[in-house]
Amino acid sequence: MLRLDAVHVRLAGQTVLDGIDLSLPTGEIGCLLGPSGCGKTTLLRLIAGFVDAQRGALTLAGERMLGAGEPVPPEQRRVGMVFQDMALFPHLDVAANIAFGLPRERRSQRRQRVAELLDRVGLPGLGRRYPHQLSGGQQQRVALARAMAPRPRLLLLDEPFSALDAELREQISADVRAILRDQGSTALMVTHDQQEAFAMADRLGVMRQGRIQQWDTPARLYQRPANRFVAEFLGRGRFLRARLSHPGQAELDGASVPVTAVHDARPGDPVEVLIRPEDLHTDPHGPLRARVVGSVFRGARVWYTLALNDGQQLVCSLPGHPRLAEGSRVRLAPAVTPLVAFRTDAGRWTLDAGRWTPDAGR
Amino acid sequence: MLVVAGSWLAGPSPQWSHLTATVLPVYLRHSLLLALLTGGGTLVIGTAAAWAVARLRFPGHRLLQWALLLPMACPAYLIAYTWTGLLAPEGPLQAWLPVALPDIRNPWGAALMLTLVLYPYVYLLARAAFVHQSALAQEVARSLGAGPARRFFRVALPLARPAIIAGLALVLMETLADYGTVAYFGVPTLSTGIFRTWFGLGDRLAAAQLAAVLLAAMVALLALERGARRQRRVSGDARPAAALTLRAAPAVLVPLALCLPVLLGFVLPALQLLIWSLPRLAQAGDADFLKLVGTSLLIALCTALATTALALALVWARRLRPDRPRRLAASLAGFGYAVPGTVLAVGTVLVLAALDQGVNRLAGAVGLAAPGLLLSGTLFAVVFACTVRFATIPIQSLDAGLQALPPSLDHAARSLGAGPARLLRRVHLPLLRVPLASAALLVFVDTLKELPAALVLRPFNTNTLAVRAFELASDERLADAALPALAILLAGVIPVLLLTRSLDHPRPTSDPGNAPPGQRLEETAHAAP
Repeated sequence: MLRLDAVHVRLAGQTVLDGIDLSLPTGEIGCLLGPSGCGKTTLLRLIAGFVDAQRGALTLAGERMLGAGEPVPPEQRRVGMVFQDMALFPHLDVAANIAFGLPRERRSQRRQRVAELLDRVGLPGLGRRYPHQLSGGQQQRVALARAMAPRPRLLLLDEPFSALDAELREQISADVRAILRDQGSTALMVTHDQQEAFAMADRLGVMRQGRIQQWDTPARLYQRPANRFVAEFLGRGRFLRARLSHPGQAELDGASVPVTAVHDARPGDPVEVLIRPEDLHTDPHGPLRARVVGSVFRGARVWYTLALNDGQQLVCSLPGHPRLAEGSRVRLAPAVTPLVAFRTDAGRWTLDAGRWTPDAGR
Repeated sequence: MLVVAGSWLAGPSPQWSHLTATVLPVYLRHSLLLALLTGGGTLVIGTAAAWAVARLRFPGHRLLQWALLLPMACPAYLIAYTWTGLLAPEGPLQAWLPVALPDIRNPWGAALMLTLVLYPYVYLLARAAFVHQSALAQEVARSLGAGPARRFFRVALPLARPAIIAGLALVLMETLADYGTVAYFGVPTLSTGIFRTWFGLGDRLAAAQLAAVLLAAMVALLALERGARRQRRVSGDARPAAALTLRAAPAVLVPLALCLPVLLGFVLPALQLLIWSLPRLAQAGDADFLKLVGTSLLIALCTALATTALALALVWARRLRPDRPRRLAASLAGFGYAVPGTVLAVGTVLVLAALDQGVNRLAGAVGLAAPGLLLSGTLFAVVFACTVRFATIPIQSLDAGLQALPPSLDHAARSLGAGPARLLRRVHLPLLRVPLASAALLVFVDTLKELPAALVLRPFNTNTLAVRAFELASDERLADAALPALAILLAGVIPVLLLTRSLDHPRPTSDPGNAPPGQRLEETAHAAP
């Protein structure tokens, strides 16, 4: 449905998008995740047609939008967009806002489509209200309905829930996902909230400095991060120094733990092993030995800061009972196998279309 | 402007050395004196009034807050001749007072007149600055042991300085550009010098070169004003400082003192004009007077429409695609306000006369009868000059209005399939209705008041209210001038009333999408003479 090839964008002398490849099949929901300034919003604006690319191609449902002659203007792309600030027209009521994208339809058809959408987003009968008379969540739903009204081929959502408070967010994002699914919409969303991205996405991308670091299912992204950046960005892991003993085995603090295949590393090479809080559990026969140096109570679980014999520290989430005293010793075994490992200098490598390539100059 | 500046390319006029030797020093000295006196006067009155209104509460506070703006409605040349009449030996005041009244027809008097009508610029901008100053700065200063005087001079005043300087720059621009007052009082300044050189000596080149000197001063002032405005971003989101409620003697004295500029700058002159015009009210129905009103209204209407259309085209084109030439065009068009009416008149005549000559030659070449003065000798010239001069008002108003609309609104419309035309018609125009209308109204009134451009450029046998009032007053027919003057004054009150509405709601609501986009008059207002 959506396909981008090697898209480069420079804005005000700065490279904002640096060789973006991306494809999103019909009916799927894609999510772009990244720190602020990574170019994710620019990418969305590029697809919508508000930003021009210096190089590269953009295809939507088989039609060239970019990369062949003049770019297609936004109003002819049939791409809907939901904006961060919702951008409802303040001088139009809800019904007129939703009907804005339907100027050519007959009046009765238009009215029917508006009613249908209001119903679908759970705001039946609110068509005569003005945007300032609606709550944030209601405005969000109207913005979604307005974007969907002309049946766009692709729906773009730019941090659509960032203006809502935490409670509302969770509920609205679940609703929106249901609505998108229900309409069979293809959608691409930008967010900086991991939980939101995991909850919404069929396919998830992590961006950094104008590049997509990895484009995969949420589960694979979490369990098999392509590089250190992705691994650090998702979850709260720590990297521990270790040494590759055999392919698939690493020696960590004198213990042998199963690890993922490490690109371009031979036995004996130094590696870094990612340990997330939920990666280890206590096991009387576990290979790792550690001492409790601190703890944070989190209700059902306690997050312990543990020190290995060699002094390296890690964070481990363990059940609240029994509470381990500071200074007590525990034995741990991996709960997730294999553990994710990278070559010590792997930060400079990127998995690009299935191949590892040096991340030039970064 | 370019034509005027370009006049220097032709080399000094033969008269120039004569000018520099004789009258130029006189012009410069008087212009400078006027600027100093008026600048000092408006600075003191404007700042003091602004601080009092912003920080003190006293009986009549609400009324004075906007009444202090009323003198803005008065063109300086009107109150100049009204006061001359009031203070004349046979005038109404002399009859009551035992001492001889001073003659105000000198540079000091001219500066006084200008101060009385121009201080509202300083007042308006300084008041906004004082009101928006946060209480925090005051409280910090207090906790550090600073008394009230020290707090005013070391905290409040420096924080408001950029606004005060911006207001002052506008005052000085108006002062240097003033023609009517100084001409009536016989004070030889640069702006009257341009006139005399042109019509007295008949030397257009020297006049244009004098205009270029004036223009250079204006450009410097404009740069000062823009620079000051850039510094105005002080964090204003904090809670505003609490006002002090006056009691006992100050509660009487402060409002009385504040009444003074309003009385002198508006109430007394307006009353006098009313008294003069009452016996002549019958003339209001005269065909002559009606024609006068008609011409004035026609010019004002055309100018209002032309400036608004021009502003819409420039500002909107920049919104659509903010590339360099479009940004430049919009800010260049904003410079017109800095050009004094006399300078503008000179430039307009030169440009339009050249165009007319071209057209006539072209017509002659193809064998048609020469159409004569198509542009330069018609009302078109007046409208053209006023459009150049006042275009900045709708430009600033629209700019502020558009900037209050988030770009995502445009993007939303376009992603919903709306092309530029539909975007303008369905989204921007409805949302900008208020700033458009208020800017057009301001231009309308300013054009009614505009004197020098109309004086030079009007066709023969055609008059406007402003020109008529000025001519009658110059002929010492003060009472006869009252009727057209009163008409101008009444028209001038309209934008002041508009302004006071925006004083009551000084800030747009925090949500830009839902804010009524018209509440930006305070921004626009400083451009309104």
